Amino acid sequence: MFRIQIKSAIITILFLTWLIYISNDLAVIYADDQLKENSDTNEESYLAYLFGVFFLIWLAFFGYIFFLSKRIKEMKTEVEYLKKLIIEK
Amino acid sequence: MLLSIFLIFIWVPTEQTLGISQRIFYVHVPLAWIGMLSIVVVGTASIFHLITRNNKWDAIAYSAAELGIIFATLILITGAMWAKPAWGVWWTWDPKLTTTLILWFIYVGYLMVRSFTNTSQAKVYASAVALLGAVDAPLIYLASIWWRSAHPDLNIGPLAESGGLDSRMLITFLLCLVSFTVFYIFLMFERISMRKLEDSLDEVHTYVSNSN
Repeated sequence: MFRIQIKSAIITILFLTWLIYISNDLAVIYADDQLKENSDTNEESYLAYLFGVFFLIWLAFFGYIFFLSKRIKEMKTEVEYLKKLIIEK
Repeated sequence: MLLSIFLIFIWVPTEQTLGISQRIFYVHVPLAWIGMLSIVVVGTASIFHLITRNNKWDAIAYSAAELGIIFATLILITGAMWAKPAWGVWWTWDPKLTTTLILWFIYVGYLMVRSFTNTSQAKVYASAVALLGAVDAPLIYLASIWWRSAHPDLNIGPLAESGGLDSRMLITFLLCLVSFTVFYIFLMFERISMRKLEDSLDEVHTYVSNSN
């Protein structure tokens, strides 16, 4: 239980640090002329963002499925342990 | 999923203004839809849990929250990675982004309350957090209408203007939406059955330790 709390806290801190870091770029967003300036297409560099997005999504999905399978293994071990305990009684 | 990847990378035309980065839209919006759907599932299951005190509803709420935080995190990350080429910044305090960030904090809050203890009291508190979160979902959807937003007007949904998307873009988008939703439903069923098993194991542990 305690481990989960620590993990949640670490994830939150890391996320907030990242958010603060990227917030340095703030401002400008409501200025329409700035928006137009930024929308000049640069296909090469945009491709990196596109692949980055897909990489992260699939990493997260596979990571979660890995977590689920690991948890199932843990539960199987627990069931075996409980079976032994009940038989011993 | 494979078909949607093929459509995104090969078949769909490239948008003129945003260029190739616009293809992030086909995954970013379905992720956002599931993030919002998930908090509604958490809220609804929490209401039923508060009324019936049946652990089945709690298992649904917990599973939806766990999946919801993954999708909410992905919304924020993919959004930032699209914002950089589109707007020139990783993050801005735009109403839609801010309400989505609030959603992420609500998921974190819900799971943290649940992680403190597994008592019925904690489940009730967590349900209250989930109800607050459910209010946030329509706020996210309507944020670009209600407030001045860097996000474009609604292209999809009951309040969207017709003719917003090219037909091939619309087909690709709808296929992505369906495939992500089916994947979410599959994960939900898996996680719910696992959660029920975890609860049963906890009960057996308690029984065994009490009988010692």
